[in-house]
Amino acid sequence: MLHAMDNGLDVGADLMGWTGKTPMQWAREVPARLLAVKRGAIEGLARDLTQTKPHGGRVPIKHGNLYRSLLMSTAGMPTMASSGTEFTTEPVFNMGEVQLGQKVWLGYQAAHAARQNYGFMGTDSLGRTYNQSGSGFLEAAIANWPQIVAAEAEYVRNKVVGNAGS
Amino acid sequence: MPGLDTNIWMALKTALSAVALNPAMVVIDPSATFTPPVDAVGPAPFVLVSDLRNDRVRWDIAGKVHVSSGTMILTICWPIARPWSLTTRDVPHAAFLEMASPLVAAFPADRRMRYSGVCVRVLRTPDLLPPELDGAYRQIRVRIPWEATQK
Repeated sequence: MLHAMDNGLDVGADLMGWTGKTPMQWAREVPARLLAVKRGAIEGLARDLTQTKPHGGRVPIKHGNLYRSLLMSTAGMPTMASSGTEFTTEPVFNMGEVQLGQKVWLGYQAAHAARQNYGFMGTDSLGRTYNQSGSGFLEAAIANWPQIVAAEAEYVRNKVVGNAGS
Repeated sequence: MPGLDTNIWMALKTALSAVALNPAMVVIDPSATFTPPVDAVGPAPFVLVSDLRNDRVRWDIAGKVHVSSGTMILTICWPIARPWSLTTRDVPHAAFLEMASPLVAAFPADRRMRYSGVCVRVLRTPDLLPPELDGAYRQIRVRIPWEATQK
């Protein structure tokens, strides 16, 4: 029936001289566009969560263990690794496994992630105790999420509009 | 004349300083050096403050309205060496949660805090994060999201 409607709409479009996508063709592409926005937005969020302070981000870096410990999972929240675990490879986020309607979790495995985000008591080089204010990279990324999604939706929309005549 | 970001901090700090904590605790500003307090019982509890800022959001084409937002995180630090009472060694979970309740109650959703022409609004009822152990302290955190609109 959809095919018949599609053909009917195509016929109608031809009669009117329309050569672009029919409404039915456009509607069939919506899931793919939504998936593209979802994957792109998750990549954008992961980018925020791994961008270190020297590179304009908020994630502190000393040896790189914290940002490299970010893990994406579709099975559940990643668990914290034991203290001292070293993460030596750059994080890779396989967007191919992300599907529409599927939950995705992003989490740091480094044991010191919470302290770095929320703050802790530290000792400075003069031996004084001080309040090390948190870096707040998690809260900042969460606050930025609507902008990330909007930017990705605009990107996908522009790609579609750019191909409107084909 | 202090800038916008300073006035935002002062609005939050002024509101925080008016909160009556039970038990009474020293509040440590971000990046401040301090000597962990001690009283007649032993090491005393205190509150660490973190002032987290998000990216500013431009609200209009003319660029006249921007929204600043952030999170104030208050971490209650209870020394594990300090007994809860004469008969109870460790802090009961309910008592630990109750220590944070004045902080949660002091920053209800939509509370407006003003300082030098800047108005800071609490976005929602503060979050209470699960207690955890960090070194020599049992900690519980209150997370207060806020925003301020600059015109």
